[in-house]
Amino acid sequence: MLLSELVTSLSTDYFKWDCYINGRCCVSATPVFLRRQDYEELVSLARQFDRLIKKTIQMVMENTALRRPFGFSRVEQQALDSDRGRPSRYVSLVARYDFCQTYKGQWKAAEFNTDVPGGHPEAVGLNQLLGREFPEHYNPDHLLAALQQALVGDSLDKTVAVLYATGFSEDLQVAQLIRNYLTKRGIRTLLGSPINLQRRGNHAELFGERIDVIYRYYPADWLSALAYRPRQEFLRICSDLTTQVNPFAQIICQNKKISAFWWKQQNLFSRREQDLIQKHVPRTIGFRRDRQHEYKSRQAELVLKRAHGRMGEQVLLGDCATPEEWAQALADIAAYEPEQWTVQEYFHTRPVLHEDKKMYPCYGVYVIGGEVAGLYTRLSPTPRTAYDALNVATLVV
Amino acid sequence: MKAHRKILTVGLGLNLAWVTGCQSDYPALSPAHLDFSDGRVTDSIGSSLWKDFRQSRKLLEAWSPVPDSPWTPFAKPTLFSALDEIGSKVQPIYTPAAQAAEVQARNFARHERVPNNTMLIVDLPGEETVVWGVALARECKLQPVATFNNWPHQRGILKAERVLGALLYYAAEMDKLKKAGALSSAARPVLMMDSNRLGLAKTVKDTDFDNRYYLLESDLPSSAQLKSAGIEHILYVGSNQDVQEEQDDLNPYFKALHDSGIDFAILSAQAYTDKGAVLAAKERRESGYYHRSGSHFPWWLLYYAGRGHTPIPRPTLFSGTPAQGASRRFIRTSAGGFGGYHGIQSGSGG
Repeated sequence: MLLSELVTSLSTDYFKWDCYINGRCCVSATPVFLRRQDYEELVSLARQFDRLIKKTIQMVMENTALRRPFGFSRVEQQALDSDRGRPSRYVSLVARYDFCQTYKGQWKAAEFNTDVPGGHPEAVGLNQLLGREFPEHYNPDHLLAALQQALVGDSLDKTVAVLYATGFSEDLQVAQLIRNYLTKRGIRTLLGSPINLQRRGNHAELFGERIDVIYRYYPADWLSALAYRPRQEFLRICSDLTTQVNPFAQIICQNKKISAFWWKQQNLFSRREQDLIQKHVPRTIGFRRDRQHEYKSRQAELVLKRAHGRMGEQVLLGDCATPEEWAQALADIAAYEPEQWTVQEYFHTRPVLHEDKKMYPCYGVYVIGGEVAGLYTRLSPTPRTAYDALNVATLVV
Repeated sequence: MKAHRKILTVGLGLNLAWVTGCQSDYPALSPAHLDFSDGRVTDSIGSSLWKDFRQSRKLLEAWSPVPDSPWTPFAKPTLFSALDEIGSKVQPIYTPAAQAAEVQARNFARHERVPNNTMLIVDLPGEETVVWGVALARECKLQPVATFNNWPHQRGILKAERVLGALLYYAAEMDKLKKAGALSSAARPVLMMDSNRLGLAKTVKDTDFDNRYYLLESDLPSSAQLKSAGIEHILYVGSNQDVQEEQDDLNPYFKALHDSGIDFAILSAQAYTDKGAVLAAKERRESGYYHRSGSHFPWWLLYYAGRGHTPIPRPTLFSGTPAQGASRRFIRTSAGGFGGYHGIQSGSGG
């Protein structure tokens, strides 16, 4: 498929409107081919992490003392409290776990997107459009079907509200893709922002329509940006009246400090889980002011990550920074918000050749209701995966 | 009610469900409630060809830059994609304001010269900016580039459907211009912006759908991209006679371009209402007093209503960082439309 045709089809059929960023095309008409063995390893790992994450969330929700190291804001604490003990904490969860492969062939978990994982239009659109050209290869995408199951099961009677930051077309892409899919299957689906949600007696409404399920595509850490009263109302509605996918409890593992938590609290986990952490989660600790000198001398071996960073924002790879940048970052973090940052051991990602260019792949594995539902793969010219990475289809050979 | 809804929606798809009878059940969400007033039966070339462009893909193709145009990456397909959702309710729109804009745009396009090193940014109310885009394509062979980046909604702060209706009104004409080869891949761009996008005049309520948006530097051509296309000057067309500066979201972009050697001038669209005044000014310029050349002669003096403009950093709705609370003015009044401001790319997903 020609790139121009791919871009047009993505925009009109899959609501992917930001194929260009900074004037550069961020989608590729050439898929990445993943060996079946690698795919199966990723599937197995994603399932294991999904179980580990569920267990961790349950643990932290039940023992509030364990929340302390995460440094949650007051609003996040409130959101977590509103989630305690409610049944939807145990509904099917939607997550995407990002993995990179080292030169030794070992998979490392780079990020756990458990609050509002994105990438739906890319993962679905690219795989569907380009997968047709390679019918001999396995297309792992069934993201939207799995999402439907997670939201409403087999029911056609439930009304779904997709809540997102309605001013961002990047988020409308995801919201509209989901609405389009569900609506075509007879499931009433409405779009709005959390503030548009209103309580009417013992049910919730969006623009005057009763809703049964919320798909929250609005990060929990953005709740603090909402005015006090509507925020409280939103929390109450999510707590009392509707099923919410994902529940607020998911922010526990979205927080970049989760890796530090696992490394520090290994005694809370089984031998098998400890093994999973040690092998696949880069060693991580909370930033400490008194160890700045050590961080400085180990620049090439370390990565700084902010607890609430997304899409590669607020991540600094020592290996890719100048000594001046690194020193400045350490000084700024130490001065302003040391408690918000983690220090992680750097691992070297094995690059692949894509259209004759050396690129670093990051494979995002969607897990919905405990099962793998698709892949979202990004290729970057540097080991850091950010918003301007190249989005590619992923087929299994 | 549930059963009734199910019968309507199963297997029929959203458009049909909305169009065929859910209006009484769901008055808040229906294309029938979008504002297509001033709808026309015929389009800008007096035909009913607009009906052929009532699909997202068709309308997008009519308005997309020609193949190999360096401006393709900056054309936003977002609003065009809404057309398939709206379906048969969409109407071509041509308002009295658009009529006035047509006169202004024509006076500008026919009597002002836009040199090869100049890009236009037209930042007018959406329907009027579309009029300017077409007029400049028709008269000056410039390439219109749409930057409309959100969707309509019945409760929308922005009536984005009005812009869509204007795009539809001129779709057949744009298609003809392109097919006749009037626009080449070397055509200079005119960035069409909806000046209402920040909705500054609106008070946002909880029952409003906040479909405002802002443009980021990553949405627009960089100085390197402009320079490689030979662009050295930017002419910013605002609405009012007293337009003094670019809108808040454009301030960092303009400043960055200016720092890298791109010059700016501002002019008001309204100044081009009176053809006689434009012609008289043109005659004065050409007859000598203003007719000069040389490196010290400001390029923008060639334009009847042009004024030089130096973008300077200023406090805007988006200044500072969210941590400092500076950008909250916009976010706090946004009915949840904006969770947080990001300077490179917006959006929330991980």
